[in-house]
Amino acid sequence: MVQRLIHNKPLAFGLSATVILTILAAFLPEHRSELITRMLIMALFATSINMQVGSAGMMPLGQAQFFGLGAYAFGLLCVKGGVPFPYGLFFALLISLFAGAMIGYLCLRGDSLTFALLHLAFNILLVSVAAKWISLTEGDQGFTGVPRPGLIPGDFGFYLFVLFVVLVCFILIWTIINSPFGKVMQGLRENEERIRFLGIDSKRFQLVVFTFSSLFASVSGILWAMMQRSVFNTYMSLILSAEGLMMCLIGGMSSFFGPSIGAAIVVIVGTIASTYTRQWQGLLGLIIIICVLGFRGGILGGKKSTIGL
Amino acid sequence: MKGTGQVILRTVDITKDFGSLRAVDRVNLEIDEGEVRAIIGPNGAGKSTLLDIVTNRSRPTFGNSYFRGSDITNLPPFAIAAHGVGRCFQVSKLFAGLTVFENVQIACISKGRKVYNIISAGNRIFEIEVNGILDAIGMKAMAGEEAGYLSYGDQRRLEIGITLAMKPSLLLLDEPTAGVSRAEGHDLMQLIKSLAVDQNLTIVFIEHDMDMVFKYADRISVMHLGQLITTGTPDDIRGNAMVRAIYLGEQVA
Repeated sequence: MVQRLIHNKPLAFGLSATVILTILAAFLPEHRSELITRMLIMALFATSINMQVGSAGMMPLGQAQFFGLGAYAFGLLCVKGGVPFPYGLFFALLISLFAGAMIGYLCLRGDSLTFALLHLAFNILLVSVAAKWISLTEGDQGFTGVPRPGLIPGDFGFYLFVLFVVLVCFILIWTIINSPFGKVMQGLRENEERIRFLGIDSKRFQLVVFTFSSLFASVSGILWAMMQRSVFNTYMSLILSAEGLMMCLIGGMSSFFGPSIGAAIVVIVGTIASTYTRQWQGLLGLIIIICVLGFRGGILGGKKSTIGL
Repeated sequence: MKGTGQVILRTVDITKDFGSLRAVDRVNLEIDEGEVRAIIGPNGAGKSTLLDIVTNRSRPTFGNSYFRGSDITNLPPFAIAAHGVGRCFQVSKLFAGLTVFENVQIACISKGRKVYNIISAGNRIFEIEVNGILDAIGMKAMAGEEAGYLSYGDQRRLEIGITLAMKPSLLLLDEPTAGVSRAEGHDLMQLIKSLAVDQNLTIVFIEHDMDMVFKYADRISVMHLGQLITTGTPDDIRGNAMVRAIYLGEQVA
């Protein structure tokens, strides 16, 4: 068992990360422990992007739209609709699922470049809807009062909730990308035409990948809204879309935990640097350039790297 | 000549214009079940374009193609492949970053209808089937190698393996021996020929090397300037004056 665990690097990494993060979350002062929660949520967001980028070779330029969609759906249902927490969660997921399938269907009408640009265009469209439909979304002001689950009180309790949801999602994503479906995802990344000539409807297949990926992004957005107890239209900003892709790039797109490492770095750098300078996004850009040029294939590297997570 | 006399593939008046150029001109081709058919002709005769149209990689200007009697002209490529028409390309189309094993495995996943299975472990699925195919194409020892790093001949061999995993009844090969050493070329053709016999596969291959064509084809179709000039046994073709004229570059009367 121990032998197997050591040889199964991703499992070992996942378990030790869980333990270390939980200890940190329990003993750090409150304003620092929130950092751990942020890292977890962003790790899920980045991993949802990497399902498309690293595994299936698709380029979703506007993934924050689903992060924001989840947040708005859950926030609006609970705050403006007065829906109880569990139903709010259920219907927010359902709305996100349908929105993902619909937007995916439209984005997948053309080739891969068309896909990337349509994805971005839908992001821009949804941001302006969120900004201008003031009677519903309160526009730029956003709205507060988004509930957290009441099972375990306090910030540490909320951390445990986030940890649980993120772990469940990671196990699901891990299962998907290591399944026969996941093998076909890799084939799609390598050669879409060959996939078609193997009798697979590549567009329909991509739509399923897309819908899964968008749904996981929405879950991370819902968690974020709970954490902030509010929803703003910055949750679906193009900057967040870009940051998500950068997390994948920094950590490494060909490894399962690469995007999570990237997410941790972006969150930590963002939090620390923003207390000293308002130009922290410039610093982030610098880190990305160093990572891309210095570590070929991100910090965790390609599948041939010795770390091999 | 082998073959049951049943027509497996029929094209009717297939025509393709690229602007003012007629690349394929009213081609009526009939392929019998079980035969090995070569399509020959000078560069630009429209051979590859014809295969592209049959697999709907490109659409004909007009004309239809029928597979076992049913019209496949307007089916998307994935549906034609699912019907049992396998295709190997002039430039091998592989999953370059994946291993030889995985390349064949993905084809088996498609054939075994497990494409949308997100629950099972994928690593060793269809292991027996994959190994059977790797045995058949003689690549078992290379199972773990990355496809993109294989020699040209091995890439061709692997592409045939991938296509075989789909259990096609008709295999279309575009210059299977191009860019491959002579010995490797004969190995490949012998493999293809044995597959036709062992697995009752119908083979259509485009080829420039006349040795290969005369040695391995049951029948030969000759194309020139988009038109199908003639079809016959190797002996017929060897003695055909018009074919000789085309290959000697003379004006065809």
